[in-house]
Amino acid sequence: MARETLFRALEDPQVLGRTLPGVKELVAEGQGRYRTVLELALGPFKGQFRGQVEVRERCPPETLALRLSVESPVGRAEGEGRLFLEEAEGATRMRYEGEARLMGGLAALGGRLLLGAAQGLLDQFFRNLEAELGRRYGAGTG
Amino acid sequence: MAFVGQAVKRKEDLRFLTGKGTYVDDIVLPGTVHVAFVRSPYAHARIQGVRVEKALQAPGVLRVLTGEDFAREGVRPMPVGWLLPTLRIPPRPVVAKEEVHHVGEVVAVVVAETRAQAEDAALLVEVDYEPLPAVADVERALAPGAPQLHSEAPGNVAFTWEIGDAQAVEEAFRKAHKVVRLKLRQQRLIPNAIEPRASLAQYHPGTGEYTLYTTSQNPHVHRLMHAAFILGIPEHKLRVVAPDVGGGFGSKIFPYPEETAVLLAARLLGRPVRWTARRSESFVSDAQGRDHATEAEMALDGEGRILALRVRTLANMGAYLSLFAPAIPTYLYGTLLSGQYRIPAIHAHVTGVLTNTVPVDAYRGAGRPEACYLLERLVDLAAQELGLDPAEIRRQNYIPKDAFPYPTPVALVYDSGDYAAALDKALELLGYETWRREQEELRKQGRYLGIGLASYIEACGLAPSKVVGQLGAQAGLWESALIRVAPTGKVEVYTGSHSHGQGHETAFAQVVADLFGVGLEDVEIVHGDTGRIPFGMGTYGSRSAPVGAAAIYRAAEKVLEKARHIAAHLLEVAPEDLEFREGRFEVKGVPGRGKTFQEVALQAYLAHNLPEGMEPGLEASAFFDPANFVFPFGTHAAVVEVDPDTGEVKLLRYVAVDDCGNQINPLLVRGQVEGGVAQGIGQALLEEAFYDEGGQLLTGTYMEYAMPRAHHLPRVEHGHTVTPTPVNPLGVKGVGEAGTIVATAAVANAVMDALRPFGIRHLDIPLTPEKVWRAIREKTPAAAD
Repeated sequence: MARETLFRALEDPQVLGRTLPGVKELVAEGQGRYRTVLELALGPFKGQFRGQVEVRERCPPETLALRLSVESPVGRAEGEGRLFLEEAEGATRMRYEGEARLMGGLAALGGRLLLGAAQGLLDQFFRNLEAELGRRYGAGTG
Repeated sequence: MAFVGQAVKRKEDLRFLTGKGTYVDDIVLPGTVHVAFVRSPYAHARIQGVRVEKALQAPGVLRVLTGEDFAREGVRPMPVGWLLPTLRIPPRPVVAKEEVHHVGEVVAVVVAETRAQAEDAALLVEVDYEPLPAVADVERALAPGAPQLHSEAPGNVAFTWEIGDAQAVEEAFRKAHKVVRLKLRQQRLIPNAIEPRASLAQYHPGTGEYTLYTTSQNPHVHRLMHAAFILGIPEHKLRVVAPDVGGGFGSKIFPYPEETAVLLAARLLGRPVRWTARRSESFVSDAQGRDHATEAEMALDGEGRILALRVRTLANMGAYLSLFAPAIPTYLYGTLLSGQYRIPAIHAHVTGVLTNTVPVDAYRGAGRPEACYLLERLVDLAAQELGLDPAEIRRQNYIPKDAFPYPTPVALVYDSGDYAAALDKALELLGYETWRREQEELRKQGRYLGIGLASYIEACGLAPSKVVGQLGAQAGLWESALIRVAPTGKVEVYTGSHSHGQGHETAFAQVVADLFGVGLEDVEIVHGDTGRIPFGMGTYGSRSAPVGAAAIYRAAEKVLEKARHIAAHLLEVAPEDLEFREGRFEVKGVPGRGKTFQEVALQAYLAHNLPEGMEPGLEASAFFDPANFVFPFGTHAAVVEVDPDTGEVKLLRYVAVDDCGNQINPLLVRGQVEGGVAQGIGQALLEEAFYDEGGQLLTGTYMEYAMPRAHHLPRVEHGHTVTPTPVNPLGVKGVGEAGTIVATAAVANAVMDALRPFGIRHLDIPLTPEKVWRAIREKTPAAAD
């Protein structure tokens, strides 16, 4: 798949809505900002997180950053992931760098475990993305 | 008969060990409702709004109270009970209204029919926070441009304080042969009593009276603070009951916002209101301990005699000042910096720093472990740098036993002591010389043993009221006792001390049973209820025996004096012709002619035949205000082995020699020392409350906060010396904190001794395997890999 197509897909609210884990609500607020409600299971926590997803530092078709800041009654989670889209023999390879921060109860109650769980969610995002792109553009294109 | 001095088994253990104790959470009142607290996930944020509508609609919810409600009800900020001249007191609201300053601060109170409903609904309270920059570390908090917590305390400085003679120290350092420098951190600890805090409040609308059942070490102090200072109600309208309490270690001295919240909710709802902390709440709401960053220097002459000590400490106070917080890193720390040593000149400067962390206050030892650790590390380093044996440098610098009373350069007058005797006993029990030889042998085989000594002094038996008043305490620290003898000669003793595991019901009964010549089972110790006890200052600072039991002793003397007059009247002799032995007043020189204590007690109530003008009844109260602190001391010795491959520290031996004056009950003394040693080992090797840069507590569960387990602890081998204090009639010194004060230093010194071959001079506690392993690895040439 071409980098441009993939880049467009990553900015498409429908794609985000179907690939970000646990999305219950994703409402565009303009300029790459979305209001969101996520239903997540993070380690021992299961519940609703409300907050924002923001597409930042976009530099099509090479890179963009997704920033997530959500809150739940048991604490707040923030994460920023930077995606690099690199051409590789006619396909596009996606590379990811990012970090997550937990606050309040989420930090205190075994933050170590939760960060592991957060990594799991990230893997799920990429799996979802692959499936979604496959649906849209045909298998093997992801 | 003499019970005092005997290892009597604890009377209270039957109920504790068979699950028949009555803790706050065991008290059942009809119609009780429950609260859950909404706590800040931010270390620092502005509250833009608190939306409670959804929570109010949740099943079972009766009310949601916010900071606005508390303000409207006229609830005042939490008080500070120890003032320093430079102190800045930022107001600490019961429920935050405008800003939160630490993770865990209460922002709303949800009241519901059941605990589960309250907790579920608490999750529905929506708080709009505007995050503000936060700071958790003292050095960063003082740096230019640091986030500012409170406008009342510019630069995040709560106070600056100094003690000693800076100029004399300066001069001594100029003349010094050797100066030993050390920069260290005393990490923050979390108290972790077995029973989490719990409160149950009841309001009687007919009389306007409140009853608060709560986990308190000092119910009268709680009553005074909540009634007079926070809620603004008359004290006689508030009864505070602290029933069986499962440990406190200082953390249950202070009034807490949660207690005020249940009291107010009980009045507003007209129903009893209960809260029992979840363990995760304890981590972010109980006052924490220690947390010093210190730079210290010791000046010595060529023979290893200490000439002077200079200390600069930044004490992390947390986000607000807890009740006694200003006293801990000042008068309970700076005044202890002379230790057991004759140090001609000392100067200490302390800055109390506000940070976005849970407030810090007294935790077992409170200031004194910080002083002991600092001093004992310095003495060990001095020995190392001067090529002296750690035992010898100590012996050489001890205050000699004929120098008492000894005034230190930091404002205390030590009452009595024989420090070398305790050291000698510890060395002998340990087999010091043998272990030194063993250490040398094993090093040749690549095994690393360490031997650590630490000598401690403790100022406890808090405290002479006049002295502490001059130092800023907003209370006198005497203790009260009321002894009421029933017509049958059974005895009720009402003490203002509070037992939360110490064993007062046994130890105090031993004292009284001996004085009256009655059985232990004839004496009931009553404590923990402002409705039954006339007044009391409670239990902390190892004060229950030296002050609390001393008050009981004085009251018993008054009772005996009256009893003697009654007996003399009945026997038709003069009072001074009687001697009181084994429960009988006997006419001197006339064996068999006498009256028993019980006969006298009965006559006191029958009042058929009392001396002219004497009132019936047999009871007396007394207040004991000590003339000085008491100064328990001792030397502890630890042997450790460090595994260079894993960094793991194993304790091989632990010897504790303590001098707490006369021992009322050696079994209780051992128990206190062993519990204290366990906590000291925890600080040396395992425990640390860790906040990240943004003030998030990362050690909020037992997965991350490492408490000592049984397998970490060695058998404690005890030795004692007995130097009675002249300060109280029993000659007793406190022993509640001794083990905690000294064990951290003894174990840390042992580990550093083991690491000497690696050229490691100092590591900050806790000496976790990771920290030790990394230090060894850095010092080991890469080729060794």
